[in-house]
Amino acid sequence: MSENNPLREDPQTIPQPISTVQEDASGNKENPAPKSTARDNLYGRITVSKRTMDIIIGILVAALVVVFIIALR
Amino acid sequence: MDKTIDKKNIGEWLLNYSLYIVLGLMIVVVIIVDPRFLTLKNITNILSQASTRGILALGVAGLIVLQGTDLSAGRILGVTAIVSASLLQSTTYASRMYPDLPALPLIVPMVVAVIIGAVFGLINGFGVAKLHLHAFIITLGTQLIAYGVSCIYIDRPPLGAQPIANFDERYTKFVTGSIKFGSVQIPYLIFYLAIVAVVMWFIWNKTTLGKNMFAIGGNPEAAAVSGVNIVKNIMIIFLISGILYGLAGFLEAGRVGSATSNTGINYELDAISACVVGGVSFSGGVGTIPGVLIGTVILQFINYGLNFIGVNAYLQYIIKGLIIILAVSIDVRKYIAKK
Repeated sequence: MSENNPLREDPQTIPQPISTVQEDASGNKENPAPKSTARDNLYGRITVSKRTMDIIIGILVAALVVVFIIALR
Repeated sequence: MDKTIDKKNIGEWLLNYSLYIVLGLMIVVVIIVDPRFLTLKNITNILSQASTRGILALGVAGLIVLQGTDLSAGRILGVTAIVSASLLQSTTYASRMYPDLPALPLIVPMVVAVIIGAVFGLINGFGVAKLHLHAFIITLGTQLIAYGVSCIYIDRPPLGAQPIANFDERYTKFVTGSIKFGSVQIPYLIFYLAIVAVVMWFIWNKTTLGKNMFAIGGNPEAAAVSGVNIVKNIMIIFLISGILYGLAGFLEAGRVGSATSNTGINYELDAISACVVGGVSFSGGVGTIPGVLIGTVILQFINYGLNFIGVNAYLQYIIKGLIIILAVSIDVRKYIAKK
């Protein structure tokens, strides 16, 4: 009876979640690395830390002040 | 504990606003060195000079929001300035470029300049949106093309490459005229910039195009998945930029009083600097019209101020370069913090 129940969903028609896990040529399953796109922005691959940027900004401010003082002389 | 947090917050604030603090101090020092800098005449001069660069910067800003840039802006301004100038020479001037050309209504050269700018903008937009070229490369190419076109256009035998000057009085008055409010003369150019800024503010903040622009700049893939037509929107933003360059070129020739093949040289760098100083992020999707205007005015104040107190021109280049690198570094730092 249960097999004739029209309300019962056919497992083949139930949408299956799309897996992000892919198989490579040798059949190994692994999560692929995210692909970089052509429209990656200019800052997309920054590897420096915030602390390093703080130091760079400090140096630039100091350089700007020194050049300005030289310019005033 | 609270003191540590306060110190950290103050440190963050100082770093984020270090550029404005330094630029503000520079302006204060210029005023101290020569207090005559702060006259009404100088301020209106600065704002007047900032007007055409401001219009250019408003065009470039949209492209930076799209994660792009435009190296051709200055040269496109140059070619449109030359064409406008050649069509608006005084009919009584003996060495006119087109001796038989009657006095044209001002709108005609303006429309011609805008169409030339729009064509260049569309070429740039097509390269970026359809051919997926980096904006840096395609605009570098169009920069050279625009310069070549300017040189060919202006180099006419037997006179050769002469500056185009002696404009129709209506043109000079339209661009360099001013309205008197009491004892203050406000140049028309400031009003033109204000009108363009209001229109651009409306486009950026109140239209679907503006929202799409920020969406594409912030995350192009997400915008595409959301149904935004990337190609169409990028093309329109580039088209608008080209129109603004054309308008700026038309005004710049009248402001300077002549046009040569060197008109507009390095203006794109001033425009890009103004955008970065004004908080338009190269990481895309971030920027405001008031920010661009403030960036333009601050840089013009520094330019004018350094010239006013007689700072060596070579040192001015170094100062400008440091300002740009500092502005971008602060932007990178904000981007790292956001990531």
